[in-house]
Amino acid sequence: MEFRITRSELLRALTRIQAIVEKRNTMPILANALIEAEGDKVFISATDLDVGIRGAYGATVVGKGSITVSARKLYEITRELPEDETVTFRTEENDRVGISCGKIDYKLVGLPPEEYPGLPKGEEKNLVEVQASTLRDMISKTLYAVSTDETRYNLNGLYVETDAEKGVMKLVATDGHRLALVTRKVEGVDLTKFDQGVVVPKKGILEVKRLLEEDDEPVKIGFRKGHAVVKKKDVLLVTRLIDAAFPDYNQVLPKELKFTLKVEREPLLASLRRVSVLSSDKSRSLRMELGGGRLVISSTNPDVGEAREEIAVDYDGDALSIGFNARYLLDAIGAFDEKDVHLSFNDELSPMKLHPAADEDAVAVVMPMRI
Amino acid sequence: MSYTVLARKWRPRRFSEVLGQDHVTRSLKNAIASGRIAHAILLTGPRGVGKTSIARIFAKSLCCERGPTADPCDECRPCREIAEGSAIDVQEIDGASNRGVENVRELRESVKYTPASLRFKVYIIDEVHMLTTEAFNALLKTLEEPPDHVKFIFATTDVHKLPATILSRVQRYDLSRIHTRDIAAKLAEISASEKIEADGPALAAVARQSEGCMRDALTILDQLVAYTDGKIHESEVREALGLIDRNLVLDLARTVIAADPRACLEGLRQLDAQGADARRTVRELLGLLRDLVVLVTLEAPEKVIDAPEAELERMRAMVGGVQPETLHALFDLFLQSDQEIELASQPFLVFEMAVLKAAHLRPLLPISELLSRFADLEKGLPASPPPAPARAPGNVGGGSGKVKSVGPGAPRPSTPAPTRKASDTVPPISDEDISDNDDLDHALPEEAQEEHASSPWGRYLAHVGARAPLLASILAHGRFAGMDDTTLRVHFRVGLHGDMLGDKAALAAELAKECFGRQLKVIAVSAPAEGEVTPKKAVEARREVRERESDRERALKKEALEHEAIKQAKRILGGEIKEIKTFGA
Amino acid sequence: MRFSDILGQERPLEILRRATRAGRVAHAYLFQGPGGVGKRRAADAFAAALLCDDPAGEEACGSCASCVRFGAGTHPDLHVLEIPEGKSRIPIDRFHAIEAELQLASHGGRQRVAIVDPADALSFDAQHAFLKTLEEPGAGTVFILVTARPSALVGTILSRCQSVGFGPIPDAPLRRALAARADIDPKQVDLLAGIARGSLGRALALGKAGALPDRDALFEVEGAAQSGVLGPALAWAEGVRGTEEGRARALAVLDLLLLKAHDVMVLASGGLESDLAHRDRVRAMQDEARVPGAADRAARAFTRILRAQQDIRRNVTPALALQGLFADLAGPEGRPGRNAGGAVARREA
Repeated sequence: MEFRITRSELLRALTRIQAIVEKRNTMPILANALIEAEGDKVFISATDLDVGIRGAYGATVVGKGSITVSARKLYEITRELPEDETVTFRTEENDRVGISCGKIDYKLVGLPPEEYPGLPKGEEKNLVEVQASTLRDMISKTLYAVSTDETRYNLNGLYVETDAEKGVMKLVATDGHRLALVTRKVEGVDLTKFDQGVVVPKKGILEVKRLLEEDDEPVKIGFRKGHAVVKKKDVLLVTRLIDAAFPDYNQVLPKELKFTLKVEREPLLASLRRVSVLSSDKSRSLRMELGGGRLVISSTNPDVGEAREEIAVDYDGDALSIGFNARYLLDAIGAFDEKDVHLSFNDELSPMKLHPAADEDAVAVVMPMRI
Repeated sequence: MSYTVLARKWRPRRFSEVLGQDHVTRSLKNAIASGRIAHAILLTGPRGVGKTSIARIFAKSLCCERGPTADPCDECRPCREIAEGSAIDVQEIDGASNRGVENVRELRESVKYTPASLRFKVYIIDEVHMLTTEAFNALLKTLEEPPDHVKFIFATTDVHKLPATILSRVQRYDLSRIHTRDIAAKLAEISASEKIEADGPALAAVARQSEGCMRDALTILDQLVAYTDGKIHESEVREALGLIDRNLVLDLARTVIAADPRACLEGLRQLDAQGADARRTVRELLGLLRDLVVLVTLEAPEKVIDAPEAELERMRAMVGGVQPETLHALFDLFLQSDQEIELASQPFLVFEMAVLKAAHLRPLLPISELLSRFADLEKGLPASPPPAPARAPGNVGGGSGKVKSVGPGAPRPSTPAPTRKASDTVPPISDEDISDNDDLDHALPEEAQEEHASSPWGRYLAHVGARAPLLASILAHGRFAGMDDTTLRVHFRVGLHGDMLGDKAALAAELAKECFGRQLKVIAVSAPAEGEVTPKKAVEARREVRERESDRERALKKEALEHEAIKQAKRILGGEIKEIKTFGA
Repeated sequence: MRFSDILGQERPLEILRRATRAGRVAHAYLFQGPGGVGKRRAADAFAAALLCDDPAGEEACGSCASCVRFGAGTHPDLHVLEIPEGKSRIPIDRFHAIEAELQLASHGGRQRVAIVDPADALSFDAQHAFLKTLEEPGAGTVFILVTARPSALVGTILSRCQSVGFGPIPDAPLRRALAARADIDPKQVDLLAGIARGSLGRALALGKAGALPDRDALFEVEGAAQSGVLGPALAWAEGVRGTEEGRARALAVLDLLLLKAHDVMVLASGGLESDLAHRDRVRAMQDEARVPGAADRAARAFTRILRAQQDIRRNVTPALALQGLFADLAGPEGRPGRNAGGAVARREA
């Protein structure tokens, strides 16, 4: 294998994979990048076995082939090379790699590419285009509710479900005490071949999020048996799925809600933050009391003191007093981005449903707590 | 895709499918039907009898869409989610992996929230005995007054590891081992449904092997299918499971008791060729010895020993004329080897050694006989005659010169064997000795018989004793240290004795010539104490070894000595403490 | 690694082949049997076959992408849980790491295999933490537990595993295998086969540790010690270093001494030459076995040697442990005659 590539292109490729390259040394070859040259492209990949990334970069390929070599060293070398230069990269005997740039020569010890536990093949097919902004929005409105309790691993990711008839995709997250659900128009993604939806682990979602935050370029997504694929221009991201069933979130969504009130989002957030200063450290509990045209938010911490704040609201339902975890309310309301938010209740022991006033497709459900 | 093992495929999904735990399922069903459901229940019992299954069924009963019901539908979404472990409000926690106080604190936070979609929040904590003490303490408060929407189900094989404070706050259900015939019947039902051809005796054998645990039974059945391609006969069960051949164990026990080392070797060869696990074999032997003790002790041992008649017959033949003391000694010997095997790098080698050692063990006299013999001695009657020459067949080196002629039916020779256990000669342990007792189990008794009977040294001592009492009294301090064509070497611990022998060298040589019929020098060797630094090194070595004994061990020993029960035992029985061993250290 | 490379284990291998053929591969196996007889190799062969993209019958093809990665130790669906260097147990966090890994979908979308070797190196706590996973792992997961000490595993683990038993390697294939090794001196094949007692692993380890050259010197000083001349033995022991290699060497020579005590006992019990480990020394050992009380002495020496091995495993300096042993072999315990108390009783026999 031999190819020539500009220093800047190579640096771009290597920078992209640095975060993925395995730091634990469970399998030494995972510290390497897989480099493949074919046609007029060089493909540079890295994986930590949970998430893998493969980018295609423009290059002059003299002879096709592949090799793996330390991603860290290659990155450090490239960074130190003179700018605006062309780098020649060739494989030599015994899986060695020669890198030259002008009068600079490096020899690196590589490992055979066949041994690289690389990404699955044929991932570029059957992908569906989605607006980056749509996907970003969906992720930001759900990611916070993903469970971090390792024993509940079926909840350790975002659940993805589609309804081909309606042409929508749904993202759902829950930790058992709260749930977030976003439904958006995304035509063409079809998960019916899976029994239900798929669960993408949080780690994979964070990588996708990072990719989405680079620019507004649309992405293509696809779901396979065991992994999910996101492609943006020349970059392909593959993440493994969680091998477990997600609970039926529909059961969690309250069917009929007796009382609803509309509150301005920002002031509500500010009140919650103020009152929660005095809620106890661990459970962050606070009380919401409704009735007589007002909402009273209060917290009590026997060791510290009490806080109380009153908000005038348009509410004429039953008097209610419900305990909540302040953190959960702040997360949910904070993830919304419209002016007003709707809060709906049934009684003191039933879940509360929240959604932006003008967007019923972004829903949060929070279970009350016993204070 | 992959195959689902029978134990998993046939996991009970309803109370009616749970085998042999009617007493538990009935109470649980009643509790649900009457709406008096405890907030925490504990399921305990041996492995593989249905604890986790019952826990899940109970959770389904509580949360079924048609419930709470004693007969959950197993079809609704909650029932299915509970079965596959994905239900949002039913959390199955592995107590062994989440055993710390932090885990319980999280749990305590979690119970505060109302259920997300089901009627109850249910926490199933399996292997609950693995929680740390701090974790149990943290759990107490929650168990005291849990919210109405929370139910706990604990499951464990080791209920004795739970603190009393936990036990007093849960409703406890004890699952029992399942009857062999119930297991066999269930196996027949499952085999039919799985199209496995297994005959009745084979399934009965599997059921016996399962020790009353359904999971074991199904695991074994799977194993047999893999071994036989689905047609299972009794003859294959043992072979397929790689079980130790009971016949071999019985034979080995017979040859050990008959003190026939050569025959033991043959038995060991066969066991080794089968790849028998040393630990398991020794445990089988121990079990068998226990049965044999019962056999020679009880009037109607058949009621206590669970063995087929043919086997009982063989066992009876084995112990004809054998004293319980001998069996006890064998039991002790194998019990000790069981511990050695545990730690050895070549377990089977250790086992072989134990068997051969046992086969060389001399039959022991019952205490009553000993006492009467002492009485005889006091009366001035002559002691029993010395033992007959060795009879161990084919003993290459003439064996150890000991007598073993107890065989099935053979009359037992009255062999003088002074006491039952070597440790009888060990001085009692006091507090001061605690840090200094590691040589105890090596303090060896004298080879009296050897010296007096057939060995050259024994003959020589006897001869000298008869002819020259003064020289004999010197030699009595020495130990035989080797003999060749020209020299008889005697080792003395105290140099003075060696010097005294030197003074009488001529007499000693003369008597040696009379005794052995050839010219022999009798010389004193001071072997291990040959000046130098070496003995000091050895002493240091021993000290270092001893110092490795941990403080904990020392503390344990001290504690043992000071224990009230032990003091009482010592007082009431008039006993002495000979040796303290720490186990599991 | 292929089934066909494994010596003299037809029965267990046939069980595995048959399970593969019949599509009845269970999710948990326990490979048990003596050390060094091919259990781990069989586990590898079985794992390779399960993961192979294009298996030939029940064997891995050895050339597909999966097999290449398997051979390189980079197969993403193969997980191996072993004792890390410098540890004596498998730490529980390693186990948890694999457990977490198994909660994600497999890479190949098919089988995945976790080998635990030796399973008895899982602590009591780790064994309990294993139970839930071992009972109901995700689809396509196969656990293979390898152990020479099944009795060190809790019953709840055993009850979840299909047991596959391995026996000692029969003499003939063992000799053939040793003879075929370039690193084994052909002259030592007989001797190694005797000492190995059906374990190729032990034979190779002894060959490698250079224990054989040690043996003759060792027996000489030990013999001297037994007859009361302790100096040479103490000096020899002094030469065993306290390093990791020194420990291994001490344990290896103690194994040889154990075998010798065992040989003497076998001879004193009327055994055959083929029962012996140190077959080349049959004559000298016969002399020893002929001395009255030989069986007792051998048994006692054996127990004492075991204790020395334990001491070394508990970090006693090897030289000191050996010296203590030799001193005891030479001292009252090692010899017939009166003990310190001068009592007439016998411990046994």
